[in-house]
Amino acid sequence: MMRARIDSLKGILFESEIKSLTVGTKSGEITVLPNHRSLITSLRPGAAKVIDMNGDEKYFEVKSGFLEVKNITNGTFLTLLVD
Amino acid sequence: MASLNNLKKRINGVKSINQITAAMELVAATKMRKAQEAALASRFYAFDALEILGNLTDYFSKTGMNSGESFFKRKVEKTLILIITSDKGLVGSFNGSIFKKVDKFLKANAADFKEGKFPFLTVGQKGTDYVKRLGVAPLNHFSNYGDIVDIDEIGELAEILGRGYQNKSWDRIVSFSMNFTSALSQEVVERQILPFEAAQIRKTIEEVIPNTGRYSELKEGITRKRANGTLDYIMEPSPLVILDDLLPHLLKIQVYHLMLEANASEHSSRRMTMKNASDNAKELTNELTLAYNKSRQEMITRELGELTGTVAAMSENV
Repeated sequence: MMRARIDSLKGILFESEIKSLTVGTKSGEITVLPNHRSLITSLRPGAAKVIDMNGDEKYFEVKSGFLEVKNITNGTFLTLLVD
Repeated sequence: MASLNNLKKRINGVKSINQITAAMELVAATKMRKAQEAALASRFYAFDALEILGNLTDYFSKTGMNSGESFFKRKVEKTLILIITSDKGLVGSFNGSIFKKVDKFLKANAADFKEGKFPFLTVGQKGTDYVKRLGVAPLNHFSNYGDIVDIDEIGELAEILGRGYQNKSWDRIVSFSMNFTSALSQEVVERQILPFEAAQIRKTIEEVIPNTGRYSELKEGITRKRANGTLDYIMEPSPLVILDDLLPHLLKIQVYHLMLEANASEHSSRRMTMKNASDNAKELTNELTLAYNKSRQEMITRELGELTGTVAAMSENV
């Protein structure tokens, strides 16, 4: 199980269970799948691509921000902070 | 005895003032809600950013790595004073009480103030005027942020604050602004914005949620503890780079929250002031109406007296 939440200063942009997340980080583009190791990274401007449980793609604008991946026993939790 | 026409004019005047102040009261109340909502909407972001900071600090203390000092404590030579006020008046004691607090601070540090160790930065026209009255020119002043500040407008202010700190134009930033505790009470608070103290940032964000009244029920949920302090994170590209990226964000969040708090306080202060004005106007209308009716009655009585007097005189003559 993998859940993602995308936060901005204007509120929560997205919160749901997802299949994958692709985002540009300062050390290159990464795709996060369930069971990814816990990670904290800093984001690069671009778009974050989320694939939801129906297989639909959703895009979110990223000017700068951070991604935190928590891999704990009951699932993988992603928090994306975007500006 | 004032003439009837004059009284009538005054009553109408006071009534229309009452209409205006009642409308302003309503408008201010709505704006206050909006500012509160904006502050509340940003709380998830703010707490997550703090959580990341917490994880980073854990990492640094565990590995003993030097976290750099770009935003941390150092010897204080100059202290930047940030004063957040409103652009417009008619807000009761909102600006006055901030100035009182600053006056007190300057009095306590009079020697440092004379040596010019306190550069000023102001937000709001009233604050700028105040600093000029002190005989100092503010380093920079911002105004026209509108009723509720937008996050995109904060960028420049936050950047100036951060840059000045990094190139050592000042070693500490203290802000004076109004804190919104509930719709009925606000208080002036003096806060240290830089150097960072995680506890201080947390407090600023927690204070976004009012103690009583609407939204206060959210206080429970947000003060949750960090649960994942022991996770073994990979930090990419490196903890230092993330920290360098994160700190300006935290500064921005803090400034944003300060401004929103000040906005909410300004509007609620204006609401109270306008409510008092409306109440006074109503009272005045009542008094004037009473006076109007009295003099009207007096006039009628006098006319009646004259009438009966005349009739009596006429019937005697016949």
